[in-house]
Amino acid sequence: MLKLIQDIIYNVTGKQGITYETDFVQDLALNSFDVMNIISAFEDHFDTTIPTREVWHLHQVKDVIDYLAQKGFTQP
Amino acid sequence: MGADRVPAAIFRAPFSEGGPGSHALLLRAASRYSGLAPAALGELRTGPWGKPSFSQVPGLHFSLTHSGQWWLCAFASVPLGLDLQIHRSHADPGRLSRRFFHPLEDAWLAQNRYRDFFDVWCAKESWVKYTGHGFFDDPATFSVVDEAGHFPALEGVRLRLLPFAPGYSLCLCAREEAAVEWQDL
Repeated sequence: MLKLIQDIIYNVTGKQGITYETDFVQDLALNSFDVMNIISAFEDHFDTTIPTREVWHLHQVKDVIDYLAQKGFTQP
Repeated sequence: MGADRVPAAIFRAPFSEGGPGSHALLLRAASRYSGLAPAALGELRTGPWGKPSFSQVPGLHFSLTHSGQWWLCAFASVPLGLDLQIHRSHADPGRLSRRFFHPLEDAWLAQNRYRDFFDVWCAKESWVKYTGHGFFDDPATFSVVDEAGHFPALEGVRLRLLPFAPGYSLCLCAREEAAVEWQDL
């Protein structure tokens, strides 16, 4: 799942060096537009809709991985 | 300047990796705007939806934004919201508009092949920053285009698109019309 997140963030923002502890705001300086683009990319990948209100609590990459696991989205 | 306009200051600074972070820039700007030493501003705390404020200066309203090579922060004596967005060439405006925008906004944008997408984006985000709710409010549930096709338009507030650098959109949201003074940080 980390690889998928790395690929999506790179494709959307050009940022590299993503780890489990990477913070989207503190480390990557992403803004809301970047986050919406990333949500849209995840939605396309998993063919689902992610409510925007559910993602603003997710600060680090590991939070996203936990969220996706809770929703039943898995990636080899 | 009209007597009924609220004074607002917008500080701008270059923003890049390796330079001062957003928090440092905010402290510097808030100190200069308020005339208080950074330590006198108190703790930076966040409201239930993440809107920041200084614990010792609750009447100091501000809204910060960063995109591309720029960091901006607006200050005033009343609540306000500011949003800056660089026009990202790789973004698919039609797809994002259909997914996240209100149908009135999407229909209005589609008329001009989504040319004004980033202006609409900034207007919407300046509103959610003004309210302090951020995008905890579903962005598709409100529109900055009215039924008559006017943009920017939202009942109860003034949405003002401000000129900035080429390739950027910028919008300021406040209840009253703001008289903006720019300051370099």
